[in-house]
Amino acid sequence: MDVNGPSTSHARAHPSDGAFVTFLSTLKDDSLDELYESSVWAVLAALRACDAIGKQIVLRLSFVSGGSIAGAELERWIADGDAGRRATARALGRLSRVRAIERVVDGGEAREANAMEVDVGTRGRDFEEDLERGSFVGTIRVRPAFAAHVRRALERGFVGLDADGGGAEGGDDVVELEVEKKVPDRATLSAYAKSKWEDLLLTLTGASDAFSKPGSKVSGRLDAQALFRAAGLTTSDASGDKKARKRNAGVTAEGFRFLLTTAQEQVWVLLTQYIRDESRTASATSAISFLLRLTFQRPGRAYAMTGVLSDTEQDVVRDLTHLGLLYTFDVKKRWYYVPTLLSSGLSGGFASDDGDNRAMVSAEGHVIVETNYRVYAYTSSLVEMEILRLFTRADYRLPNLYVGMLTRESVQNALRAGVDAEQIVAYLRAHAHKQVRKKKPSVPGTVCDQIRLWARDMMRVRSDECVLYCDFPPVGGFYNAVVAEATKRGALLWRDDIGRKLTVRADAHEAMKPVVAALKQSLGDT
Amino acid sequence: MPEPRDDDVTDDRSLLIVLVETNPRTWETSEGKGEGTPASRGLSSVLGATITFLNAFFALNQQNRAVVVAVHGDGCHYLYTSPLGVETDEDGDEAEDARWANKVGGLDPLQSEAGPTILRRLGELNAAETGSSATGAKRDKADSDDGPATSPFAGALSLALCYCNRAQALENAAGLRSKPRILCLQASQDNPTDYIPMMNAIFSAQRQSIPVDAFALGEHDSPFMQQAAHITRGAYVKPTLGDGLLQYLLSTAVMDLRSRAFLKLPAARGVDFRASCFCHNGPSSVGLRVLRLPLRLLRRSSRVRHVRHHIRRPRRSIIDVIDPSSRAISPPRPPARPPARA
Repeated sequence: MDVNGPSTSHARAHPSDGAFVTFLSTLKDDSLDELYESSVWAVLAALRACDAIGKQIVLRLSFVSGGSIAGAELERWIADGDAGRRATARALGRLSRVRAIERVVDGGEAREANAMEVDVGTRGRDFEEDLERGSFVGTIRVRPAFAAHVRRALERGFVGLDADGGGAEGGDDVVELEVEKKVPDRATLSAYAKSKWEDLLLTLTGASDAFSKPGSKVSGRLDAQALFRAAGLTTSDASGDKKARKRNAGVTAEGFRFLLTTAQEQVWVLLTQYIRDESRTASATSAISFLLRLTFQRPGRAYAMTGVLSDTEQDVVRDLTHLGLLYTFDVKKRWYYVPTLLSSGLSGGFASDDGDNRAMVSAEGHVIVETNYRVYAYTSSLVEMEILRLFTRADYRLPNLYVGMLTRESVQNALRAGVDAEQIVAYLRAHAHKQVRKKKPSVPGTVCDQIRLWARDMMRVRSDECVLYCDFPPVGGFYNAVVAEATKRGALLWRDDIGRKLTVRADAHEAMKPVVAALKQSLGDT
Repeated sequence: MPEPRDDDVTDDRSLLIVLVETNPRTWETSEGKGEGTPASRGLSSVLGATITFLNAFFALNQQNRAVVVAVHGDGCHYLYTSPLGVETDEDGDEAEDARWANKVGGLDPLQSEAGPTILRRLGELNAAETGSSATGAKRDKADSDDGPATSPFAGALSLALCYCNRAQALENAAGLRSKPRILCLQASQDNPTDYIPMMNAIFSAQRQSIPVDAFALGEHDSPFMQQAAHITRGAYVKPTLGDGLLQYLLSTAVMDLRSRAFLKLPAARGVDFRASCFCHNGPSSVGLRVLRLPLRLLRRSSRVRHVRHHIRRPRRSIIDVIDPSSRAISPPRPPARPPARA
């Protein structure tokens, strides 16, 4: 296997992976293995984050002794046809990116023997190479720690998986009753989570500064602005003078894309960034495994904090409370936390973009799109209006209704800001009003197509800095040699064989000069 | 249009209905269980595998829902139902709050109560049965005389289909969709008198594209289940290693509909398509008599009188007497007998 150069973040992040899989695949090999070994929740979360076929493969192999299967044997599972092979290769690639499986090549030596050299970015690549070769080579094995935890979780029925028992059990009844009383009811809790999250998003767009001053509202040490900056959602100058900031100033293309994804994906993006920050100060593995355990806890139920959680974990709880993922309260100086809807949908499964995920905060559905490009949104939420404002022309705003228009300018403004046409369509679909959802499609096809056409409109003409090479001798191989040289360097933009002209990327011109001179020496003068 | 992404985006959320045979009459004998089959390990081992399998199912996706139905001697009983996770408008606040304890998109992050609930309900079922056996002893005795124990799988299938229908209606109203499938764990042999209801249920399942996966746990193949799996494009499995039931379940039954497009199901090794004779309670290769209403099949012409007694309706309107010498009406073209198995 050839070793790539320094991997870029692009090489690591597979475009189809969700934020969580991307995060796992960027972790270092040994810390990921340590995580799987120490936390059964991490294993379950990783399993859920995989796609359907990956899950099937892990489940089948986890209960086999040795947990391995020969590549040739695996092929017999796959349905005939190209689609099955492609899907399986992708699933295997994703599984090996999160280090759930490994490949053992003949001789019993694991591929990871040369893990020192193999870059994180190349994890899982070789399965896609297999696809080109036409067969899966070697033996595919679920990592023993991973398989053992899957088995343990399933056999115990998810109960008593933690060494300390977990949960708020063990207290005496009087306290328990008091705790029960203090747990907010459903409506309060979801209103709390929703308002917190909206504040956060508004801070991102610059329409609110509830989060901008760390510790102003809640005693937290979490700086939301810093988090946004670190995640690449805003640029650094955005956090300067807040009064002088214009709406959406400093929000990067990444940031706009972030606004349009599902709440689940948003939480993961921020959490993974949070963990990355955390890993500099504290032991990352314990923070991650605690976080993943949180995602499997029941919303609306109190879990004890004081005396149960370590200091690191208590800090995490405080920060997450600040983000609205948890709700905390105390009974007689003992603190308890309650997971909200935001935190518990996180390990829900492979993220689907069809907007069905009920755990999403904003999945209630409020947008109606008409075939005349008019958009009605029954919402009083500032964030939702802000988001719609990104790609619609705002016409009216009533207390509970936003009316806008999808116009060429408004959509192209959003596209220029870095939003993808597909994302706009997906957002409109995901937030379609309950009444509209009964129809299929919930957003008129003409509107979707027009948005895509507008996006394509922008790419009609592209400009590149270039240098024109012309006046070649009408005969001889000099022209062809220069063309070949430019093609080899990837600098050729345009050629005209009859007129014997070509253009070369301007930045490659300096490098081309001596080569052309040398070619001229050898070929041109003949 | 962008090219559709064929394998990455779509979720694997499903609604699984498990019909597990718990009929005490089946499990108390060792008859028909053979050596080394899952049924010979007893009900508890089958339930253990089923519960672990359900946990695996829940671990795959938070939105996965399962229903477990006990196919018992006296009928079918729900052992476990996942909350439907659909808010209906009729619910008052109180009901809402009651379910709130259990609420993320309607469901827990992990449904850990399935196993304990199943075992508890089954215990209650048995307790109720022994309690009532004092009064119902006579009837039980009369029942136990006629042949090997059978369980009402046709009824259970219908129940499952009704449940699917109800769940889908609720979900459609909320703009969701679910992909239901049914899993049958059968230890006893087929009940031939169930032939018609069974086929009706199978065809309804086919019509709604709900695959029926069937596991024959005992020694004998189950022709009904073979046909159910064949017609609805599910899997029919007859485990030969009794201890490996869990592995069989994990490699076939846990597969969601999406994965089935990409991964193979075990191939059927020949399906017994023969219909059951109404009066002889056995499979028959050639039907000589077909009654129009209800559609029933007779193996021998001499039994027509006997049938008439059963139906108690005027002869002409129901029984289409055909001279056996002219032409025999055969059931929908029975193919060759299933190949003998090794």
